[in-house]
Amino acid sequence: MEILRILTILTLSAAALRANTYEIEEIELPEAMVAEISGVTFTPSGSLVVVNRPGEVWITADPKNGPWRRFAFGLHEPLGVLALSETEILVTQRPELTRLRDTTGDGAADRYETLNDDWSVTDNWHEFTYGLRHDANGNFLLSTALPDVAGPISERFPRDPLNNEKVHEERKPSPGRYQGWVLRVTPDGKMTPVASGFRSPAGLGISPGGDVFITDQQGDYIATSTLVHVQPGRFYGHAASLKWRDDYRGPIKDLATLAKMRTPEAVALPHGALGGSPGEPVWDTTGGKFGPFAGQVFIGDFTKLVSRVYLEKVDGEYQGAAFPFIRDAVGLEAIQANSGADNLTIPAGGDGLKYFRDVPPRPGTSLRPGNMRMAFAPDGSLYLGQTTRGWAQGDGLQRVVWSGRSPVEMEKVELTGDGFRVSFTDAMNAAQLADAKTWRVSRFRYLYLPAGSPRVDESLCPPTAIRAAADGRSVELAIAPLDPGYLYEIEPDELKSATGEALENPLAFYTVNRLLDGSKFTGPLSEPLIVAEAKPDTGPDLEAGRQTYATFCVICHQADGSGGGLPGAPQLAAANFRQRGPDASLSKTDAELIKTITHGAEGNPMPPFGGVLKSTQIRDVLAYVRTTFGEEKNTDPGDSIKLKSSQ
Amino acid sequence: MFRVNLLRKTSATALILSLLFAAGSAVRADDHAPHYPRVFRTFMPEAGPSAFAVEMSAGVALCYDPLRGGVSQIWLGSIDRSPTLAAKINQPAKIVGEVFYRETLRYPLRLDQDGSKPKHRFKGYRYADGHVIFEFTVSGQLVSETLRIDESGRGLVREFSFPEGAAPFVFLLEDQDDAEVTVDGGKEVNPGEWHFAAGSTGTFTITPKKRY
Repeated sequence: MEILRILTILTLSAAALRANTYEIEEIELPEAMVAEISGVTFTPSGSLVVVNRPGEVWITADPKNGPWRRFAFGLHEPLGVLALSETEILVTQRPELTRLRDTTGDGAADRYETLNDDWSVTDNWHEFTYGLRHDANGNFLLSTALPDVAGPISERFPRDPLNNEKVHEERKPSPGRYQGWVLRVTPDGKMTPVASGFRSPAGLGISPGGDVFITDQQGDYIATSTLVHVQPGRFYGHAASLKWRDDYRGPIKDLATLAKMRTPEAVALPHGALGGSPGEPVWDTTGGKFGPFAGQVFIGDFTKLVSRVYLEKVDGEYQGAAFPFIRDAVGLEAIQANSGADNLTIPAGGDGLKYFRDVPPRPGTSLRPGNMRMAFAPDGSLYLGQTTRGWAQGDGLQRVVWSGRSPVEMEKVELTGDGFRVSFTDAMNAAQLADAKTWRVSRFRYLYLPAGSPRVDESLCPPTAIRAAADGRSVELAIAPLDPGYLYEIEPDELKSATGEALENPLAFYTVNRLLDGSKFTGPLSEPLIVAEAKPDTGPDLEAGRQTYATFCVICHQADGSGGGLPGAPQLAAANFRQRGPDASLSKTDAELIKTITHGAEGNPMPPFGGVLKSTQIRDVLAYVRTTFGEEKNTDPGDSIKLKSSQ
Repeated sequence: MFRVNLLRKTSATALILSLLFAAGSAVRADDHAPHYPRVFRTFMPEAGPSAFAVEMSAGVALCYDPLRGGVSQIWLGSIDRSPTLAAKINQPAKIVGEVFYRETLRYPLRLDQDGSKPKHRFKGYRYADGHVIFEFTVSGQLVSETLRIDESGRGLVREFSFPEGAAPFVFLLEDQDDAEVTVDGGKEVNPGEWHFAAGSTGTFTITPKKRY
């Protein structure tokens, strides 16, 4: 046993030499605690507080050695926690904001006080209540998600009458009052609705300057996940929640009207490249204990990713650059191997998946998925609360610790009059810095559409001039064209430091909402400017169909087409393509099946893919399913596949 | 305890060694396990969103639904919350046992002058002296409802308390097939319609008990 122990230490030591700038540490949790960590914070005196999905609050003064004690239990899926003291802790649980107090001094809460519940809930599975932060005046801020029609929405005993009217063409509705909003609650429990237009605003943060930010998750109207600067009275894009505004006068038919009302996100987090479901944004206020990114924003993601954001104000509004910070294998191959991460296989607009970059993980990194909650500890380490229920596997609590050695990274990207200034954490190779071949710069847009959007109007934008600083720590790239309304992607893949170290994350996205002169995008927000060239139709493409099936369908219908209980919802069953007979799915006509794929199936968990897949992709995947699992499965795939007639 | 996680995913040997190394390092938790009575906010069958499952003891449990109007079901048995915790799309918790008392009327406790539209606001709950106490307002008047098991162990004592000077209350009691219900501290002015004046004791009790 002693030999094993020594071998272990040697193994760990060798790994430690490889892993250098940041380490991931595992926080061991007591056996009595379910490790679905859904909230993490620290008390003013430095004790660590976590909440978990089953509804417990745990606290310890010493995360390294314990002991832990259970402060509260029996809460309904708390997703936010804020500790005002060792004896007073607030949580957002599904139906309310709750103040927990220990008035007896025994270390456990004896009072569970409803501080506010002035928004409506049903029993729909997706009605998450997020948060929790407080501002300089002691007000609490929280956010509410829209329900999801993949599960039932009960109308039994609602807090307020439900309103099932569609505002526009939303898939996720807002039947309950203030669903899809950010809300503010005063210390004595009075609620004020702040801003609307959110879909599933899973992360809420307040900057050191007091500005409120939200991360929202991509889907209908939200083309890619976002970091939003929340300002009172504004609307941020998802139509459903508009009905709860005082000035709402009825359904809005015109998308252009919504587009005019909408405030864009401060920073877009491109789907795939920068994850798929962002969690809590936290500001590095450690004063350098966490490395060279003081004042920047860190955002956990449901995938094995933590992103970093540099914000600046341009013409009075926030915008800025997003970078990967820590990521495990997030490439397409890894995502498809981990079929549990099904949310990533439904990219915005259908072709987002191609933007997953197969970048190797940081050496030694073993970041888990589910990084929805984060908090900086007093010692400057970053704690990650992880929960993945129903979407993937991997729960727990980890922390990121800076080793003291600065990583070689793009520290920030700032907008200039004619392009961007890229600053680095270290002096870079002077020759490479000034070489145009170092810099791959491209741009694209997302459209504002009810069904979401792929990247459009993509083009390369090679720098027209490069001005490198003498100290090698920054460079200005002149870019043409430089226009508002685009995301600019900067990829100096081969750039190395002056001492020959590669950039750890050679990828940045700058969201240009405004130029320095204040000019904004004036073109169509819901239509591309570059029309894709039409290709001749050569009939169904079985290989393309196979890829689509592997990406979108396999999670429910299985690799062998046998379907069955859905992951995370075994009571719901996906169609079995191997079934035969008149009731079998594949006995339906192509027209019927295309309709089902496009619009979903009523009374069935099959979601609509019309906004996700192009018509050619639907045709291809149907041909693949018929050929592989249907009665035509023995035909030569090389044969021309004829679709069944609806006659 | 911290365990530095420096292993490459491909290093199976290192992973095994790490597991061996980590064995026996379970972190201690102080003994603050939930005790009876214990309250769990969750999805309950036939209830509004986010009601409560309350286990009064190992043998008596109930559903408390603040959006319906209080104690909705009582049964001899327990509650199985696992369906609410297992999946992305959750199912309601399961009642383990046979329900012997059931309320369906919305907000049966109301002020005498409220008519059919009482205004209830849930204010929370607390544990005190081995009991659980739910608190809410009815048209602005604070009401506390203390729950405890009755002496027979087959029923529930619901003790309502009002502040001094509170307006008269009405409680509309539904007929029960499987429970005997006794009421103390009020007056039945019509069948099932009980009136309570806060002036005397400030409390009244309703005690549903499973029939033999």
